[in-house]
Amino acid sequence: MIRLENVTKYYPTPKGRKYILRDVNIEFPAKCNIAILGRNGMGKSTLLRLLGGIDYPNRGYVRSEGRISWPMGLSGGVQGSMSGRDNARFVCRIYGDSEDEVERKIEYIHEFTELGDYFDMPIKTYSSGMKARLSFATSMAFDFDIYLMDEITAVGDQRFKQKSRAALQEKKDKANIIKVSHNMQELIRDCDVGIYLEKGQMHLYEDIKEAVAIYQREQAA
Amino acid sequence: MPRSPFEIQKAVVFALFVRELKTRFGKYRLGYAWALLEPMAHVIVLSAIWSAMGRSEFSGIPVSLFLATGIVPFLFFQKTTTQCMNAVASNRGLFNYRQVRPVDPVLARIILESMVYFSSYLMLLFVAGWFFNYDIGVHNLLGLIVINTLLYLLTFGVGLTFSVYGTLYPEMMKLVPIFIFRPMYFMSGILFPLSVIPTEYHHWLLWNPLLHIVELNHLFYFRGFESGDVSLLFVFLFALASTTFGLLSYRANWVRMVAT
Repeated sequence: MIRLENVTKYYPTPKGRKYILRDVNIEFPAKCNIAILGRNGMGKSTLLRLLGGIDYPNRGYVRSEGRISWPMGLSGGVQGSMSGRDNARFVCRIYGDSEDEVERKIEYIHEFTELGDYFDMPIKTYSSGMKARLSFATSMAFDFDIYLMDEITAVGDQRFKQKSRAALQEKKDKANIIKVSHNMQELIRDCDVGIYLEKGQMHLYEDIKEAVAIYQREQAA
Repeated sequence: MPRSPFEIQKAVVFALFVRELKTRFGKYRLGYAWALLEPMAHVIVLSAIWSAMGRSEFSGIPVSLFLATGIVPFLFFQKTTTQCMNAVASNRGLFNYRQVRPVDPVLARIILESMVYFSSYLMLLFVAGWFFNYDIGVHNLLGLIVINTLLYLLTFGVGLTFSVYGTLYPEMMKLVPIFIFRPMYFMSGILFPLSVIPTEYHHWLLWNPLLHIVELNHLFYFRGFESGDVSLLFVFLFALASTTFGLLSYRANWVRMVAT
């Protein structure tokens, strides 16, 4: 369950406040996979950060229940000076795993990422695809109720894509995803409902196809 | 079963502590030895200067022992509060995980530095006693424990305050070392005791809580050490005030410290 109550979020800019969300009230429908659509710069990634509890609204509240993953994305969200292994170990520890559990998950993550020797090198030497693979594989080692995904499924080669889709499919029996992407086929395939983000407001469409149609009409205009 | 906030924070601080341990000592050759070598270098250089000037003791206390017992607490305070200033900035990427709050890396660094401080203090005394045959017996152990507990409290308060304002105003990281720590190095009773300064100037110098801490460390350590008008109560009140101010500043600003 995720609910936004009177949420306002803005960034101060030299030209005044840039509003991402303005007095938004919305309850995310439970037990379904949600796509977030919107033009570039409308604040889709910021919205995911708010949902993930790592950024905070200027006014209002984001209320949530259940285990929500960190936003998995191509940019940010890792500490460059740490190695992939240390980063994965750090995440296991802050989720309260025992040391045995940590080592078991590290094995799984190492194998899933296919990073090989890079797993023990600082993350700042990684390509953005490698970072995304690490972030994705780490989150797959945990059982979240909701996975937050920011343009992430399109990483890696064909085989890695298939593997990550299979892993995600397995999770989807018990978990749901909230996903940001510009790939419409992917959103229609993976999601049930769509949220269209525009000018500080969120519009909920019960059918993902409807949301995609609105988005495509705006793109054409 | 959801974990309690305390369990979560404990796990986060521990994870950060392990990470800090690796970066603090993994970077350089000699690793852990630096913790001992750094205060030792200060002691060696300064006692060489004093001996060149013909001074070998202050009120019966050998100069190098006097230096060691003052420099270690001072360096602990300086190092820890400086580290707190960029604790948030140097862990920026880890705030991607919702459990990690800005106070956590600050706590991890304070805990780590306290351990380094305690062990380098013991090792330095061991070296002084074992290799140089100094009498390293403590005059008033209870007093020494009390004053160092207050030093921890002061370091926490000032460190937390620095972490808040150092994150919001990164200029502080340049200004504080020059305008606070540089003068304090000369005016905190670590190079020479307060008693060598004429009494009429004492009331100016005694605004500095570190001077009280260093002098009290000497008073409790050595029998017959001469000091000025130093006060445990002043240190306690100063530590309490800085902790209160640090907690209030954090409470008011923690969201701004991580929000983009």
